[in-house]
Amino acid sequence: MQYVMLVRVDPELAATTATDDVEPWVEEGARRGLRVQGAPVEDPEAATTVRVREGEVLLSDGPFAETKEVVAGYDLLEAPDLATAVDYATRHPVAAIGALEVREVWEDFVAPREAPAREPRTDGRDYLFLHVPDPEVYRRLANERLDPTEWVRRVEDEGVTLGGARLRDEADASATVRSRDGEVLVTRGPFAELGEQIAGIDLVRAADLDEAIALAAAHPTSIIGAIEVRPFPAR
Amino acid sequence: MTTPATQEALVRAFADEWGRVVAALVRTTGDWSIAEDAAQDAFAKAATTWPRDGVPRNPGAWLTTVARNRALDVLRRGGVERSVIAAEGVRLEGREDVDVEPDDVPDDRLRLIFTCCHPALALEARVALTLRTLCGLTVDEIAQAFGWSEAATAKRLVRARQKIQRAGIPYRVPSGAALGERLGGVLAVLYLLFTEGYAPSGGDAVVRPELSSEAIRLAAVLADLMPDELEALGLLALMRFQDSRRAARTAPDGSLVPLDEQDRSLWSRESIAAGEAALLAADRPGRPIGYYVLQARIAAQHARSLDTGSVDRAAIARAYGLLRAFSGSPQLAIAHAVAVGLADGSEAGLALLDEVSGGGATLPAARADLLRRAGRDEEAATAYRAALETVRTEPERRFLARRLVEVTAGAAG
Repeated sequence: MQYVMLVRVDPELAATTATDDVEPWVEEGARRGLRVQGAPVEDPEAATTVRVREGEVLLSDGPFAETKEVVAGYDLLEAPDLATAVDYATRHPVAAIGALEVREVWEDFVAPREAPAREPRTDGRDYLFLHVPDPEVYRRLANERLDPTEWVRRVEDEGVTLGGARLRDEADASATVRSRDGEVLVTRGPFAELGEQIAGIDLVRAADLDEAIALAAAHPTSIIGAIEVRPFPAR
Repeated sequence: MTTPATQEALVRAFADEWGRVVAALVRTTGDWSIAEDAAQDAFAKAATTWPRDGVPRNPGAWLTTVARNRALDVLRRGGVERSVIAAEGVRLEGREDVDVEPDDVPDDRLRLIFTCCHPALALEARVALTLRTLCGLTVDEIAQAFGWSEAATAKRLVRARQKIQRAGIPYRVPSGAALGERLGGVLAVLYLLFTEGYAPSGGDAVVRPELSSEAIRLAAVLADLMPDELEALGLLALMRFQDSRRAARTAPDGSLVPLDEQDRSLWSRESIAAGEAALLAADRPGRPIGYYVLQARIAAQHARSLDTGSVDRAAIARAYGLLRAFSGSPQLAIAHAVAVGLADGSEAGLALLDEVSGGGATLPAARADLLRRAGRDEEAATAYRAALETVRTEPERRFLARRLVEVTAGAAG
């Protein structure tokens, strides 16, 4: 089973708390075959949030919402069950200064491709898309407008995707992990500070922010909510 | 010794060349801070060497070359590999005495304008960045102009530059369908700069002429570099017409003088002529009329009239009617209602005002004015009092208070 782990850091705690190096955690993941990939992203000040309303692309500087614990990176995990993924997450150094949101990947949300996808382009910059549907808008609109299949095929054909996942939010498929004063705290379900939840992620390789924004604006989530476009550090 | 002529050359070079020098250096170095610091150094060097050695034949090329060499020094000291430095920067190395023809220096200001006004930056950041990198205003000057603290202004600038670099905002003029949309955003930032200088949103001053002048200068650069974008010409014309009335807008006591009561002999003929020229250039049959061109046409109607009585009120009301297709803002709806009131009688205007909600103090102030013109003094006094409760600037407050006294006196007599 695959899990996306969103790494969330509380900047205040990070400024006052010494944390261990992440390397032993990464090594454990490699040794046990638990960690597939992962990377940090630039902080929220470099984010741009994209919405499309009545056909117009609306941009705002910064993340989709101000939260105490901000997304600082992601990891893709491979584990036999949620308990194993959560146990592995508890040893991540950020557990002490933030939260690790472990979410089961919703397999086959987009039907697998028949022909092999084009190799991703080698130039350009990488961006993390955080999909945040607005529950209100979601209810108002018809379901077929939410199907991202067409978009996924397009970015595969254009070689501008490095992958993506729709994330489950059921209590038995997701958990949020923290550790405070040496005590491990596990909450069932996704990160719960907000009414809105991250419903999925995409890893996009674009020439620049303008192209990334255009790709975000073409995705159905920008119509029924928002997509936060967060750059990865320049390669 | 600095002669007046040298001093003037320095001032003019700063106004004309700052943005051009920074724009060229941002392209060559890819680093906004280094570009600005190097430009600053080049102008400082000009201030010491020009009085001694004379003003170079091509001040712009001189400044660009000095600044570029300075930037290269900084990059090299920072350990940047030679190969990373764009070829152009290397080519001009050590040639400070060159007299390059102006055409040799490509004009990168358009890229700089579009990047400073990028919609992925917060509006305040766009404004601050435009004033700093394109106009060369200091952090302190920007802070004062907007009533921000110096620390907050500096932070905004640092964040904006960091976001450009870290998020990969391109240093490029958008092409194709994106151009129109993005140009609209650029024009909005320039007009915001202008109106903040022309009618400050807070504080005691009626005008901050330096902000208006910078906005006009940038609009002229934009119109010059994009001669086929009629809205850029329209905005330039609009600013020129509005700016022509600057000297007549303030009474000796600091209060605001309404358009119809202004001494038209104080209007700047030079600015009006510049506005007419831009409006003429924007008049291309067969092309759709844009938002700023329409506004400029309204302003031109006033500028062309010898006295208040001869203003073509019907033409103005028609133009406002067309403008409302572009924006549902209450301010525009109010302006339309007032124009109709002046063209077709106060009652027609008041009927339109009844349909408006929002607009702050402008709404009761407009209603008060139309009631006053209709001779309904008691109702006008009530509306003036309502406007006085929400008015934001001191000159407007004084104006409304004066009107209130007038209609109260009228009602009593």
